[in-house]
Amino acid sequence: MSEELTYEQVVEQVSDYVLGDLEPEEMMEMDAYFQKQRTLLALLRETEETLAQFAHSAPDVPLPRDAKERLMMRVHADQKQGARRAMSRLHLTTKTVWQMGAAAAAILLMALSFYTSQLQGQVAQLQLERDMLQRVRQEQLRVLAGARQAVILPGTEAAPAAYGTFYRNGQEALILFEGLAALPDDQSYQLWLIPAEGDPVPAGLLTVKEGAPGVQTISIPVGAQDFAAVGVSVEPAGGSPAPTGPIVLLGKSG
Amino acid sequence: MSYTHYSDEELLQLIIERDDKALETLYHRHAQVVYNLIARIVQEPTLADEVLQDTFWQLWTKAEAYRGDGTVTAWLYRIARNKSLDQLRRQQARPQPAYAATQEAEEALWTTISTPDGEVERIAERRWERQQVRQALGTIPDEQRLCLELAYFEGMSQNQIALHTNTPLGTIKTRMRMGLQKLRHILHAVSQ
Repeated sequence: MSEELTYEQVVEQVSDYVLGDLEPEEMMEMDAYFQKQRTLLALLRETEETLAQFAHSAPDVPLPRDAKERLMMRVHADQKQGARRAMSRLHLTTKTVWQMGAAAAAILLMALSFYTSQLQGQVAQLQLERDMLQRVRQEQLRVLAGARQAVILPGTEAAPAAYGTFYRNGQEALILFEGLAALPDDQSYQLWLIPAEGDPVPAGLLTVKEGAPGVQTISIPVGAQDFAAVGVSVEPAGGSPAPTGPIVLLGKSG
Repeated sequence: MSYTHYSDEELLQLIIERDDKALETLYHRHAQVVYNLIARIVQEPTLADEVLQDTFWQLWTKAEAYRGDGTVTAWLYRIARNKSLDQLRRQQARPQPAYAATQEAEEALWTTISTPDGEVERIAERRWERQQVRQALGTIPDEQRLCLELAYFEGMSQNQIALHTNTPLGTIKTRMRMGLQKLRHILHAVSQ
């Protein structure tokens, strides 16, 4: 369809739209029309409801006997996992930096444990990598132990399952994060320190492994000593001079 | 605590808050029709079982995707249908139908479904709705009903239906539109 749709055409094609029997371009044109003509939404909903009724015309088939039990078992396992995540969050929201530091240390240890477990099976490199991790860990724990400022970073709408904490220790900082999805090769997560006035200052790229908690140390950039907020956004690989992509973590400095 | 007084929409809100009892209640209410729909489309018990699990798992993990601009049942059936059609398209060769429902089997089924207290009325209500839908479908001319069923259960496009039934595309479009319009009007009338 190259010409603009008419009201009659849209009405005629509502069932095609609901059944998914239109080309993507046509679906988009219909979407746009529904946004312009809100009165047609009622017809759209009614058509959807009518088509849904066809489910009732399917013949009855006995449900698999243990289908519900298997579903609920999976649900309960998910709840337990969620409870563990909630516990971690609870620790992170305690008020003092030291308390947050303790919780963060636990996450840090989890992260390091995860990294360590990844090394299993690579016996030849194990010692080298373990030594390296030990050094990184000591470095991270040093920054964390000396932190006097913490910024909680809740996930935004773009990444509601993500969260993190940013700890500042003088000119160094440590960021812990969890729940960020792995990005395609042409994108990176970039950390920003945001002053009360002026543009966000880039503060480095984050390395994210899907499903694993992450931890990184950074140096506070010269132009961002008095930042008012901390954010993480999705940017083209290698980072951007200014944020361009969706913000996934954002928190105000207390 | 009984959840039977909650509407589907309220149960969905509770699911967003990770309430497993709410999911269980919705399962009791809708699993049978959802499974019938899935089984009708995929025609294979093991695959139907997988799609059923996937459908309710999506309800558990993505309940917030429900935008509230239609009924929960329409949304749920749409998820089940889309997943079933995806599964159907993945199948290389369509096996013969493995299910043969009879009136007796159906009666036995409805009397043996285990339901929590208070849900029996809702199940009966849905059965009544189902009978109305079937009656309404019975009033639609066969050629119109066939077009709609091929589109809904087989995922066929109008072009495919035209080829399948050796009928001009324009005729198929008209049949579907008229069949759907008639069904909508009948269902609207019986729900008054």
